[in-house]
Amino acid sequence: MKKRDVIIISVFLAVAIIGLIAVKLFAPVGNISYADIYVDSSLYKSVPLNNDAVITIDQGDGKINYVEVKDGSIFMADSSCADHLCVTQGKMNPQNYESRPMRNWIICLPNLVTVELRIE
Amino acid sequence: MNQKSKITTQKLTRLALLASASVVLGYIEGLICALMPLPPGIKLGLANTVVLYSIYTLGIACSIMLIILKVVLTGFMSGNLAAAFLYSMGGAVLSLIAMLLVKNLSRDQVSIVGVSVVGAVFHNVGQILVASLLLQTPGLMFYVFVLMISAVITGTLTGLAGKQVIRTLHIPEDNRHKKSKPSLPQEGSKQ
Repeated sequence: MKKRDVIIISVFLAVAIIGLIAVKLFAPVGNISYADIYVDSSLYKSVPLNNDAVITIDQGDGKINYVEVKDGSIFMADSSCADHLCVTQGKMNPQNYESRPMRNWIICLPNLVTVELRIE
Repeated sequence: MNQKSKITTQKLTRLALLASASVVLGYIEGLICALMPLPPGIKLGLANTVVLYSIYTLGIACSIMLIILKVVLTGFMSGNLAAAFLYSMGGAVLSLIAMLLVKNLSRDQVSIVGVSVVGAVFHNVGQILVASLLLQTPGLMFYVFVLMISAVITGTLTGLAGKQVIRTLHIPEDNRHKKSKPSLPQEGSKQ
């Protein structure tokens, strides 16, 4: 390792930490009672978080996602995608979203399905 | 410079070996990552050691072909040639451009570890850019900062690994174009 390597590493770490602090500071605040589900970047459905439900999103070409609302939390219960990263993103609710790495998002990139907690 | 000279049979053979090594490393990495529930996008980047090796020993042209082969072959293996394909292509292309720029502009002031860290960070930047475009949600860009921390750590590790790989498998400049000397069995044993 050379001096410039250490500089590069420090700069990236500084940018990341400042960025994370800025994200926290400038994050919108408000009430959350709905989650918006987007498919291929258009709104598919808005679901209230106080009603337990399972929403099946069948895009007709083998892409299926199951979004579940349970006890005030919303999560991807299952998905037809290969990596299942959307399922491992876990439960999201108005109490825990600020400490989640993905904050108020659950994203299934292969199927282009997005769940967003609506902050209003 | 040597790097831009035409592609010899030896280079081509080595490129093929590296392409398969990177695909296999990517697959093994998938298996490792499946064991722990990491946030999306956080990866070890094992295949980056192969790209580093290629940048330092085969030059620009071969490195470009290597990443295209890697992304296309991985795409075929996973059966997903749509979203995930664009996403990994975005990461791989931006990462390679950044690494080549840093390596060639820094005039030996930055070692392979720094190049690797830059590559890892820009791999994530590229992926997030493509993901934001695909999902049309620019708000997703905040996630770059989360990935940047993991990229600095994994980039340092793969950089150190790449350093060792090049030290062990490097074939001196002179042998490379004139006589195709031994060294191929060594590469085979790496696999």
